[in-house]
Amino acid sequence: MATYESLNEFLQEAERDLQKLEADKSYCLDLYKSMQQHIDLCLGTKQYESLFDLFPYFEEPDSYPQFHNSSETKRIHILLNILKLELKYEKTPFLSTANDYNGIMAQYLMTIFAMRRLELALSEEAMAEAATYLTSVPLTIYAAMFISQNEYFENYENLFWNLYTCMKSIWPIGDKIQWLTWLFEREPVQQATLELASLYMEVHNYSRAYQYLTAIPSPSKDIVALISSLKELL
Amino acid sequence: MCKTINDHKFAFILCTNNDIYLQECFHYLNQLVIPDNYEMDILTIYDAASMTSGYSEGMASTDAKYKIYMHQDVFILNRYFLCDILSIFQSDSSIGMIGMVGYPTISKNGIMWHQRWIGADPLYGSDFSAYPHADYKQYRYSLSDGIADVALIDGCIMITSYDLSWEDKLLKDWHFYDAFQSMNFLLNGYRIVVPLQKLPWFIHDDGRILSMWNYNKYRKIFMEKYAPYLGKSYSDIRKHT
Repeated sequence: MATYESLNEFLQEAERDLQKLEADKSYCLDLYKSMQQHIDLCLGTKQYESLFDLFPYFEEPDSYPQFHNSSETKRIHILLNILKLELKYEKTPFLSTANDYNGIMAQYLMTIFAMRRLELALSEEAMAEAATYLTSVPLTIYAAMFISQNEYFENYENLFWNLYTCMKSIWPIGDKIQWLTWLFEREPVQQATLELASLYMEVHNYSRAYQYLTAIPSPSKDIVALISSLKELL
Repeated sequence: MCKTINDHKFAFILCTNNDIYLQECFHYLNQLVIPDNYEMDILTIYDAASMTSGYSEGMASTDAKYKIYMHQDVFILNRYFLCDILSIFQSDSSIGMIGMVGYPTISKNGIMWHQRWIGADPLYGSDFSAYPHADYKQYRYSLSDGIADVALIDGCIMITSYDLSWEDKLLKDWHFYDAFQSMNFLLNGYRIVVPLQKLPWFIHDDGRILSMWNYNKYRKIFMEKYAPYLGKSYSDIRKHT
């Protein structure tokens, strides 16, 4: 983050940034249009790796600073990062059900909105609608994680747990463990920690299960009994 | 022709170009509690030429006393929003406009958020990081939580109890309509206030960043028109009215 000697220096830089934005407008909008065309082509032909050609537009900030000032271009960058991990871990890509740029942007927005409904949990009906949507798209843990980190969410306990409940019949066990581990690292909620231990027991990793169970503060009698059994087993 | 104002009616006025945002916005509006004996209307203006032209059209087409001008990507989380804004307007008839985020002083360079803010959030959304376990089912605002006078409010939500014309001749885009309308209310002698929210009343889902392409052009127009007021606080400006 830049530091400034004085308020005037900060204001002058803001002024310069705005002037540059104004001057570069048509160049950037043309570039944005050509990015959309590239995405249309890649999604239409399912050539997902060709989407990575767009990374330099975002990761060379000196060349394209204006792309950091638009939510749509920012979201393209998020989608590229999601795809990178999905291909690395051989998952069905989140964007694989979309056929073009507009389709993937619509899916991205609907996913944010559904995740937010799970986070806020304002009504059962809203949550049920959200769950129906989220289970209808290939929502990987990588997509859910990137979206939760880059859009407006803060009640991670609600979001992660409710999303887990919604997706647990779909996500493979390794992904479920990874998702709950992220939640544990952020907020070690008892319910989720217990579930994490139970998943580790399911894959016969009893030492990890023991490790998580013993991390639960003020455990109930049942949990204490389980810890004792695991200790004997180990 | 002079239209009769229905003082028991709220109208949400939204300019929209995206049905996905709009439907989600409706989802939250449909959960609002409507005060007894009041009614609520939602007006959507599709593909307006500018924010001011869309809002002018909306203003002219409703008889509601209370108008809530709002972005399509704003989702209201406070279910008692209508009851709460009504209680604020009823507490003082000189309150002409309520915002969710406001600025007591007008920035010398015209950039609103270069000043200290009051209300729900710093930059254009809800700073949820301050409320990691927000429970909206339990939340209720009370007038005793307070309101704060400001000079300008952010355009994500602007609620009025009087109709003043929007600056649709000068502003042909999506910027500075909020600052111009705030000045309009202040210079006409109305108070502009922001409720002090223990939980943010809304989310502004703008992807955390703004589209700023034409911002500078309208910033210059604002600075030229309101040059005597730059750097002044709401109380300084009120002394002039």
